[in-house]
Amino acid sequence: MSASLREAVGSNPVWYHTIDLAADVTTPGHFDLRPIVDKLPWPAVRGKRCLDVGTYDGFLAFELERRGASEVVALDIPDHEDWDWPAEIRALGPEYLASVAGPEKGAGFRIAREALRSSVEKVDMTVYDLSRERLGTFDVVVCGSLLLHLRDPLRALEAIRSVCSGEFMSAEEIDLRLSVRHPRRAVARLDGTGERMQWWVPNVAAHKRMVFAAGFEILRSIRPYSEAFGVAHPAHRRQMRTMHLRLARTLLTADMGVPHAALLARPRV
Amino acid sequence: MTAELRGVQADVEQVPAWYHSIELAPGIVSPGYFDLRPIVDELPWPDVRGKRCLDVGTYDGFYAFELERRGAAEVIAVDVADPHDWDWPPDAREEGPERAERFTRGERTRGFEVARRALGSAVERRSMTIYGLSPETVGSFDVVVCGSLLLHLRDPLRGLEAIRTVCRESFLSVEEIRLSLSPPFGRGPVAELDGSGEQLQWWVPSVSGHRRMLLSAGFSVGPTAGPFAVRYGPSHPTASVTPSGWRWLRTRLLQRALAGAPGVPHAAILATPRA
Repeated sequence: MSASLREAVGSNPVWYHTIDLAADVTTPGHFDLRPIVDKLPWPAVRGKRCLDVGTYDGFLAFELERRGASEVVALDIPDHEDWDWPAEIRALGPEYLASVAGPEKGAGFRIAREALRSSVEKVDMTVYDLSRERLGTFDVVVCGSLLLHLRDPLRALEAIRSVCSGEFMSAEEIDLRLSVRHPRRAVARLDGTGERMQWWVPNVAAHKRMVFAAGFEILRSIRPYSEAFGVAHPAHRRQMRTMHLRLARTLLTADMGVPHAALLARPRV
Repeated sequence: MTAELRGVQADVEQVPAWYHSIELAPGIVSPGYFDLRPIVDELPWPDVRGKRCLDVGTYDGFYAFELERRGAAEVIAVDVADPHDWDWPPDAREEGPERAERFTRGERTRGFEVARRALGSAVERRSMTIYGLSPETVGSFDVVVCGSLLLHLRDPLRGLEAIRTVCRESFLSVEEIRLSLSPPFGRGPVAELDGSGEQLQWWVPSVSGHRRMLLSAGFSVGPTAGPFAVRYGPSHPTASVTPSGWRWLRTRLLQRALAGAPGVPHAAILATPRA
């Protein structure tokens, strides 16, 4: 059993999430949310209809199921052509985009879903297209590490609000320096130039402001934390060498990895 | 005053709300919210003589008429006539457009029309959002100008990409910037997010953030100007506010020190489309 599962895990060239699929089988992900998952400001999900936006390998979707959700829908875009590429990069053509995007993204989710005997339903759709007409409403929506990859994060948050009838948990990468420098001002760093597919990285205040501006009220938030690199991430080994940076990060977010902030909100409009 | 000038003066007074201060005839200046006249020659203008030009978000048409005055062969000015088509946040989507309509008493294009007639201008005005710009809808232009518009867009990068699709040679971008996020206070490409319906403002970038937006949309950055202050005109509420408080003083000092005068801090970039 473990041997065939290990083989399936090995057949997927890129794992994004680190997920425990069996007692002795864990996916070699780029990121590892396991150490922080219990610190997130979860709403009650038992018996609820839930949506995970930008699910990738499905870590948060499976977690919703584990916490007792009655139904979980996991959303991600069908392929990289739908990403918010800068116009200039998009102009280089589909083959170039495919080479930057790397292998197909849905395989990990399928392998994990089967291994976990999960009944999470995968829907291919961009966050911008979320609507009541297409998917109905959800008691709980979660979205993790997605907004920075969007050219128009406010539009995405509004689309999320349109299908959220209960609570929304948002966990996003933040800029630590801007958070320390501007504790109360909503300031975001703009990338938007390259192949890293990053647009706006907010500070803590701007993350809250984005969610508020999209028509939510913030119920509670947790202090910034670090989303750890998984074994597959190139920075995983590098971070072992840069001890002083690691120490600074450790002091601020109590771990190493990518700084994040998380909050729980509910629609106010 | 001649009968002709009296006619112009009467037309000017008929406009419910002027946005731009424009000299329409000798001695007759529209009472705008903002007065670009003191800074217009500081901008890094390209040569527009004989060129086909576009002014995006023209409002009363200050930049469009300036393009014409500088010798453009043809000038198209686009703006959104109906405030319902602006990028309102959800909590202001109903009340916001009504407020905007009350302010101009439903006559948002009246100022442009009065100015166009008074100046004997041939600028052509079209109703269109920046997002709707494309070679199919407006053709292409040698020179595009856009002033003080990006901060009102929820997705400024999409707006700039649309401009990029219709711009052949030069793009003059004049935008509000945050002095407190710009040198000497900071150097990064950042923007402050408002997102409230009150002023319909979304992202206000630092000097370097403005630059990054243009780079991201596919432009190369050429000559720059600023920061400088776009002065308030006589109809701006600030003109009649009694100054008070530390915040007011700090803002004014910052504006005077870094932008040369009180007003709304702006920076200008002359950009060219990357191949």
